[in-house]
Amino acid sequence: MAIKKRSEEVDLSLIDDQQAHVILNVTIGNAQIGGSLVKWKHSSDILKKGRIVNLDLGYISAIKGKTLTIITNVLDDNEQTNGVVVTYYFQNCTIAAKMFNDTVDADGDIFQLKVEFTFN
Amino acid sequence: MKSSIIVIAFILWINMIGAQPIQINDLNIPTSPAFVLLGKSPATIEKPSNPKAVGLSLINLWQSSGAIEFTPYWLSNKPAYTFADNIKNKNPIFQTLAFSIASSKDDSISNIAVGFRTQLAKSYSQNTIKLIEEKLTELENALGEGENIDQNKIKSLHKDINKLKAQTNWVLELAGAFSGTSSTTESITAQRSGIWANLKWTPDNSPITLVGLARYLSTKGNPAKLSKDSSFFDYGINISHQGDEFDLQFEFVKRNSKVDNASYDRLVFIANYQIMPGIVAVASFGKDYTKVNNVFSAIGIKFGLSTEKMRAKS
Repeated sequence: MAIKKRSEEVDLSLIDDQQAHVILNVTIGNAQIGGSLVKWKHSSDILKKGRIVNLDLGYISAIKGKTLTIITNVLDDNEQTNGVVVTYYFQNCTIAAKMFNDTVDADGDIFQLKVEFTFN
Repeated sequence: MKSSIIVIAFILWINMIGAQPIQINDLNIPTSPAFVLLGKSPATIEKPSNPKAVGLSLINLWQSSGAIEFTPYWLSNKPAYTFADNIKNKNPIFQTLAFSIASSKDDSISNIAVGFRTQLAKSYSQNTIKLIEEKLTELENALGEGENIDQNKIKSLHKDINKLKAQTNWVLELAGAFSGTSSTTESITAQRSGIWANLKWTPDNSPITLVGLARYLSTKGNPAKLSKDSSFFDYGINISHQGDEFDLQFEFVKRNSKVDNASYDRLVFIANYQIMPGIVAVASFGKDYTKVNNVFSAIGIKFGLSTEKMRAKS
């Protein structure tokens, strides 16, 4: 069980409505199995672990300028492909989805993706 | 997932009558139908993961010998197709449609074989789906530990999920293959073709599995008799009971030969009993397709260093 690591940084633009909430969903595609850890950068508090569905990150006014760290581990369970694809959906950002794809070397390997999303 | 069971053992056989190896499940759909018709297992199998790699592999295959396997559906990413979708998909025809292509060259003879395999239908019981979902949540939580994941825990949960995934209620599989042989010096050609179908049923909470089997195989030779003509249709049933300490397997196959317009049958019964970890007593008996001298039986002890039980693939 090898672990392939990758880090990314992404800037996200928020919509103009200060009272709107930003909602996060994480989808693991290619019939693989994955789980994520979500927290604000420089904070020890974990917002959510495991399957991320409709996670409310807060008001736009409260999160503007902050950086969200998401670490997603994807286990290659699909015998038909070693490809992994992770999609992060942010409701109320101008670009609502950010997708990352990669491959692992062998069945049963893990792809570890660390992404820092900065809200502008 | 590829499991590696390495058995370093020697087998002591006490053959009571006959000396032929006893095999069961010989009508089960082969994993790579093309390689079966080619008559040999390739040393390495390329598994290209994108269209460009498939193209390159096919060119290499054409120019020299080799083997490739690929599933067209997975040559591109499917971002919205989740593990849960896959479990609930009752007709995963495209998701499981895999092609195998192999070629070999021996002196002046060239062989090429093309095959496919797919699951037409599958279903799990509601109870199994519930257990898979529970285990999936546990595994997702284990994978959600960021940079401090517990690999042993993940391995263990993944093994549990794979066990549950194998507990299908119904599975209908289909496979087919075609192979051609030619000689550059004498322009000799021979063709083999085959089609397999399996319907597997495992009742809820039952250690018993029933498999209905059907296979058609045809070999057409040539004036130089590179291979002997044959054409037969097999159908039958396989029943197995897999317990913690003992396994029982029974297979009955009826064969209709088109060439001599005759029918034959084959019957096999095998029992395995684990005396202690690594030592298994085996008893088997049955009759083969041939009309004469067709009864076989054997008892023996299998010694192995592996503590995992050998199981018939079903």
